[in-house]
Amino acid sequence: MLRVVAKANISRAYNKIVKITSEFDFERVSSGKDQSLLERIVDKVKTVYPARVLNRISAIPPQNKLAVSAAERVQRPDYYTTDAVKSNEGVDIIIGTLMQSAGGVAAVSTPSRMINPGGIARLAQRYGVYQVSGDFDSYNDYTQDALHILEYGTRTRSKETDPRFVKSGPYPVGVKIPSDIRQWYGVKGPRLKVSTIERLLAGDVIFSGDAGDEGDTESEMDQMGLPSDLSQAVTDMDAFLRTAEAWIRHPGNYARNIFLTHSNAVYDDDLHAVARTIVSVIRAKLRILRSK
Amino acid sequence: MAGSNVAQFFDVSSVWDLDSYQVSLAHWVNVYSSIYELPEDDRPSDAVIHDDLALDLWFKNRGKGQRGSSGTSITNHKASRTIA
Repeated sequence: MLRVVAKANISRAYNKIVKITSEFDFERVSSGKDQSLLERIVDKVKTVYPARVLNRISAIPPQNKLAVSAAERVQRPDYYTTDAVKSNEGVDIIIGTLMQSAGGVAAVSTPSRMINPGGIARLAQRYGVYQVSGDFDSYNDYTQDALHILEYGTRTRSKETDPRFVKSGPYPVGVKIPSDIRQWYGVKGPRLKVSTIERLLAGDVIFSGDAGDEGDTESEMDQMGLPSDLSQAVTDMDAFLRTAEAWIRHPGNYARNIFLTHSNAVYDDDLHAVARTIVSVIRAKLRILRSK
Repeated sequence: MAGSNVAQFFDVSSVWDLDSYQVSLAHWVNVYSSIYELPEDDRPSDAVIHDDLALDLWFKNRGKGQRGSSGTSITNHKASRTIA
């Protein structure tokens, strides 16, 4: 069975959670010593989280995939992402925010770190799952994470072990930034270059998704050639599928544990459809590989 | 993913320009896509999907059944599907 771990949140709601949780002491929460604090966070999240979002999340069937969202984790503090993944003895596809925490220390205010810091990073190393970064907004932590993965494979960076984590300007010190990635991230030129993706695929790393997330300013989106309205859903799906296509075309990529990308704008049926497509491609590749 | 769609997908002018890997990949993507698009009641179990021999046998048996009723097989039925 191929396992898919997908997130199913909506960026705006997710960001609300981030803002809320940032008001609290993450170390105390993540240590598990202060359940009352966690309960307070959950209560507060519930007050602002749109019911329609919760409904969407709960509507995703658990079969053959674990739909774990930031909101779900906040609501169900007993349901740790890592436990869910471990219960399936391996993960083939990870979609979305879960992998954004694979960098271990990125996005310091994400609920995933709050609940289980570093857990996903360890899973990534254990199962050979590769980092995928969303969020096309330039220079964010996820971008830096992904660039780090390019440089060091799946190793998790940390403040303690990697001085490059200390920022100097928009990128970690010493990390080489391929010029086409600069372009890709909207500094200039097209936002998504297949040639870039294919080259990244050689290292089993894909970037994609999340274009037009709430953090993007309108000018940034203009630079990337993206619409700044709800049509991002179409844009994101397009980017998503092009990424998948690039992977399909790459004959040398037989990595079993795939990396996936995602879009905040891809939900429910769309998400399932994309996941099915990717799973089909993975299975096809594996089948060919086995036949050799 | 079939016919001209495949050629377009792999950036070649015709299907005759596809290499063996691309042909094989297109075929198997179609096969697995067709499986995942089946209603759950009709879909083989994950164990079967994971086992190449078992899956081949499942297709063989299903093909027999469908030829008896509609004269088509699942893979043929999905032949015109495109990936993206």
